[in-house]
Amino acid sequence: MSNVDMTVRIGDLTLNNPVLVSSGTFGYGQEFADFIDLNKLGGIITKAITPKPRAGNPPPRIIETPAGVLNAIGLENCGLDVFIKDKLPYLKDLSSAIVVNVAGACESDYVEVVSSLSKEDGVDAFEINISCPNVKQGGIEFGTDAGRAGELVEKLRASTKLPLIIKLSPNVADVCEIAAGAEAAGADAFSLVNTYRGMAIDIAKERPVLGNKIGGLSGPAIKPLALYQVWKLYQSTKLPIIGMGGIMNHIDAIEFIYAGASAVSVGTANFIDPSASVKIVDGISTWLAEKSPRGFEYFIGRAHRT
Amino acid sequence: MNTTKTSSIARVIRANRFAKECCEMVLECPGIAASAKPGQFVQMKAWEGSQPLLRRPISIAGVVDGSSLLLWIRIVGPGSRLITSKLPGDEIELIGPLGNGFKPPAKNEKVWMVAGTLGAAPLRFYSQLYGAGAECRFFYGGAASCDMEVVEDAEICRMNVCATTEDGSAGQKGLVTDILKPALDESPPDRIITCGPKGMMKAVAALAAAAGTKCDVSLDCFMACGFGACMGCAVPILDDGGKRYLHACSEGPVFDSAVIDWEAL
Repeated sequence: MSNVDMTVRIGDLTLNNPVLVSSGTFGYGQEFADFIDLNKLGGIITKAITPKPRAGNPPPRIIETPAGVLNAIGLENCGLDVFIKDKLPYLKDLSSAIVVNVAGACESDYVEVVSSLSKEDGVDAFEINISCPNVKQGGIEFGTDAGRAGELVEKLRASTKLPLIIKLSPNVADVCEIAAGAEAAGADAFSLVNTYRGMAIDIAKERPVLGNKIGGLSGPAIKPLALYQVWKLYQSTKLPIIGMGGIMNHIDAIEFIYAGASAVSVGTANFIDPSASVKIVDGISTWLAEKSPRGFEYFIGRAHRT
Repeated sequence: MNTTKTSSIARVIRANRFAKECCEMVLECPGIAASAKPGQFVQMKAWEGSQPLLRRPISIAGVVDGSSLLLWIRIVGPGSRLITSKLPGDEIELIGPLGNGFKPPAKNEKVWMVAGTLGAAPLRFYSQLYGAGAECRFFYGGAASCDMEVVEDAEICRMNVCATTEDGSAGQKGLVTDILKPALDESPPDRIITCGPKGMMKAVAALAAAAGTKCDVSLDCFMACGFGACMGCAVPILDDGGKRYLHACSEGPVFDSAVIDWEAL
């Protein structure tokens, strides 16, 4: 690969390159070790961690839609203790940034995970999941109310010095309003979008296909919608943005960067090609080497100048 | 079973129509063929772009010449149609081998197989790899005579095959469980391994439980990745200390039928 500098800063977090992998699409990282060198990634955003293990939603949990995937996994995860004991030791030896996605039913759940993991080696930042559409008490109430988002971020800010990346839901009237509440309370960055709420109905069985009835849509189907949300938020915040939603290749990723993302996160593409994220790193690197002697950061939000 | 998973390009050696709306394919893929075990599967993609989006999980039916995979694929939608439209010389993307296979037979263990249509695929592979032989009983259920091509396969023919069809156009008329039950009543084996439609496997599991016979089932689930990342392929289990689901791709697709919560599946 070319020797272009792709280092990017997300608040106090420095990434080797602007490509992360999205929570819920990359397990706890090790699941991809047979396929790629995980050290080539800018960062790994883990499966959402809650204080106690969660079993998740009843099946079916995942179905295919035109150019998309509807999922309702329901925040299944191993819980904080098992994460620290069994998952983190592997992750902390990697050179990629480790971003732990945190979810909960109430403020104290988030505070417990963030303060516990802040004491552990190997965690570089938190992504605060206030946008899961698939569980009744999975934080979405914080993600749809600017006041409550601000209150939560304020509590978390007091619990950790590590960067707080707030993962925003697109299922709101104005994502900028929620972001403003979080920004004022001390957030370091935003990631968006989480999935778009959606559903499918089995007309033979006369009921919703997903066990949870509703789910979240991801994949290429949502890319134009996600890109717009990043574009819009870039105009209203000074904080860095991690853009995501249907990124399948480096061209998609560069579109998000032009729209205002300082980094991108690859999600659904990991299911189809476990090496998609590394191919995107290489693709951006080659593009950057050919494009300009300027550094990567020159292109962030570049499409807004016209 | 911790075989290394690989993402490979396989070359089509052979593709021919097989049984009803099915295709038999032989794909050259030495890496996966060398380590594949019966019950494991591959995730397949034979198209560019995002339509369809996800790969298709297909059970491995055997290994040919040590370097190729034998696959039996039912054509049910656009993904399987695109895969099975490939011709000799074409390339298909494969990830595998995925999942955990059936336990090999223990010394002197008497294993019977129960298959519903293409559910015969992993059982065929079991016979091929572990040499089930003529003393192994193979119970087969199809809908009609057009499904009988499966039991004409040379590897399956080696076993003691009893077949049924729902319409009676070949073999005994009825369901595979109609012939399994009296056989179990007479002299049950040590273990049954089964693969087929969910309803069939549920019924087989119930008969095995009643006979006090162990039963391993290979389940087919919706899944996105196939290697433990998405957690989409949840299989409800009878409560095990608060754990309610296992995952077909990483903890299955072969499960002890006694742990599965069949009512919730």
